[in-house]
Amino acid sequence: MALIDLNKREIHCKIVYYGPGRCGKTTNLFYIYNAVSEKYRGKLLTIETRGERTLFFDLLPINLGKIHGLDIRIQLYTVPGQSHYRATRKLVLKGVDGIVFVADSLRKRREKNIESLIDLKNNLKEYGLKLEELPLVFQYNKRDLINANIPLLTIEELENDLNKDLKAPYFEAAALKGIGVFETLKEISKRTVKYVARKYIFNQAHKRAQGGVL
Amino acid sequence: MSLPNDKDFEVAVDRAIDEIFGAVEAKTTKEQTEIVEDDSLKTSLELEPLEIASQENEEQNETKIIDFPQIDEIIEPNLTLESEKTLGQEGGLTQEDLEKLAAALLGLEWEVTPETSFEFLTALEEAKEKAAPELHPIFDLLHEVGSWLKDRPEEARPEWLHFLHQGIVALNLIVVHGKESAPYFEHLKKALAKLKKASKTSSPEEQFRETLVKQLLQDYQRFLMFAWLFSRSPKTKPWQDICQKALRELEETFALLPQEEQPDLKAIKEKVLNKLNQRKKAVGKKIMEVKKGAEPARSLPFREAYQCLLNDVVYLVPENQVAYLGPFKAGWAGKIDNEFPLKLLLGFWVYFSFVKLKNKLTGPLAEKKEQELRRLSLPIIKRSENPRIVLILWHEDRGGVILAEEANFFEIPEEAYFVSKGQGGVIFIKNREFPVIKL
Repeated sequence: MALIDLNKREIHCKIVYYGPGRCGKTTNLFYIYNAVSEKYRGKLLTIETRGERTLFFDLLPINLGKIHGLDIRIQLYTVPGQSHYRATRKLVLKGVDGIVFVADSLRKRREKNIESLIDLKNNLKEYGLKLEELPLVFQYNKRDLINANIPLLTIEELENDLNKDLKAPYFEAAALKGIGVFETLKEISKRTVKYVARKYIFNQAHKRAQGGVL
Repeated sequence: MSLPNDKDFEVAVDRAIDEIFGAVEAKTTKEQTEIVEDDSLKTSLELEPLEIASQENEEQNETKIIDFPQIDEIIEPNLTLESEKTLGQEGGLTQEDLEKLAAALLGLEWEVTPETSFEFLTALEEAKEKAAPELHPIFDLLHEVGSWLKDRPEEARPEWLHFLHQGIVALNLIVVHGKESAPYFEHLKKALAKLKKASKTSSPEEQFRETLVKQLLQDYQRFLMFAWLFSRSPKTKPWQDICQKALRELEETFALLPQEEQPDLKAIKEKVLNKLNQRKKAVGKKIMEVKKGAEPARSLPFREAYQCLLNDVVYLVPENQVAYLGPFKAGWAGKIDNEFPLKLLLGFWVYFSFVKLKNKLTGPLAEKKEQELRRLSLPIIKRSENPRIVLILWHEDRGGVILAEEANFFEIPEEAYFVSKGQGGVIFIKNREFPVIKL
């Protein structure tokens, strides 16, 4: 869940880039990191935790500045393709506020996309969360490979495989070239910040106004 | 606190995000055409050094950027298989085989399981059988890392997969693009050596041995320091000999280690001694000044002294006036003002009458009655800002306390001379001036 400190007037939202290995999640983060001014972003960290297993994930903090007196920060997380363990993916999802599902457009990765989405749903379930209830954006990556005559899934096929019931917004992307990266980020950031504000601030304030406990 | 109106807030959020990311987007879209052009180069990318986490590049890794050619970009189905022509082997290694290998690696990258490892090794074996003999060494390197993943999946590291990825990229460049195999083999060989070093696994016994060696190395350095310290006075020669003996024994123990694991004792020794000598020089430089036109020499009032460092000045204290020398305890700071109660030296034992304060003291002060000593508080005559040593002075029924940073026994050389100057006088040793503190 988002970290909210009303005394300091700070909101931290956690957005996770999820998807199958090698689909371009880390590429998204690198592109954002390189493109966003230092004024707004922190260091891109590749974090290794050592415990039962070694886990890897990336973290990029972005500061949106003050909006209506509230200091809003978003933290972008990803489990890179090299991460093999379900435990890692589950760990990174802890406290998630918004999700970008990066799907691989390569036809040969069709099953992996579906498998990854199921994996995401199952992991969320373990935290008592439902994908349908969270801010979600799909990114269909590697669309540029169509020019290289590499067999790709069509947008219809991807939508049908992944987004048929969820009806979340989607963006076509070529993350390596930055295409679609910021469209995706803008959409998920807006949705997530609003979701967090509604869920943890406005609803609570409303309840309090009605005599409930904040 | 007041909260913003939700509708206004949402509008402001949209505006802020559009402003921040919209500006970036506009800037980057302009650059995209250039990137597309550059991308065509990717098919002929050279191998890049593997990024292996090590102490040297740990800091750089903080923002590490993975930028190696993607297999999907390298293995392009529409490319002509030049290698098939050049190798001219019927049933030789084809791009299709490399694609199979790449697919097996993708499986591994998703999750390391016995099945995905087996599939990868099988695809590797099949490809090797078809490959020209000159490529076999590359396959052997890949097989080695593939076997690690199969045998030790719990220790898998991103660098291992990066290595396999680079290996397949290399094969593709050699087979499809007709590059020379030798440089790629050498590059991969070096990378594998680094991987082995970085991912060296330790059994509990090995870990224990590593800890032991580390501890012995620390002890070695400590003994070096003690030996240096004890070499400064002939009185401590026996202690110096003990340290030298310990050092020799440690050196013999290190010699039992395999050659490649032996620490560079010579370098360590040099480093430690340099550090000690630098410190000595630094202190000396600060405190000594050449005294020109000194007063006529007088005979030395004492031959043995303690060199005490206080606030960057070294003083000499007559050894025969020191009734106690010991560490200054942190808890004492709040219990002393301008006087030092001697009972503080007893600490917790102050409540036990059988523990004698006089036993801690030497000289005439130790001959005083226990009750008197416990009541006695002596004035602090010199005080360091960061005291670590306490010296209690006693002479002709008068006492005083010095709170110093360091105190070392010192034999005053023959050529030194005493000048009556200031409170306690000054001793010149080789034209260097040491103020004296005495009662």
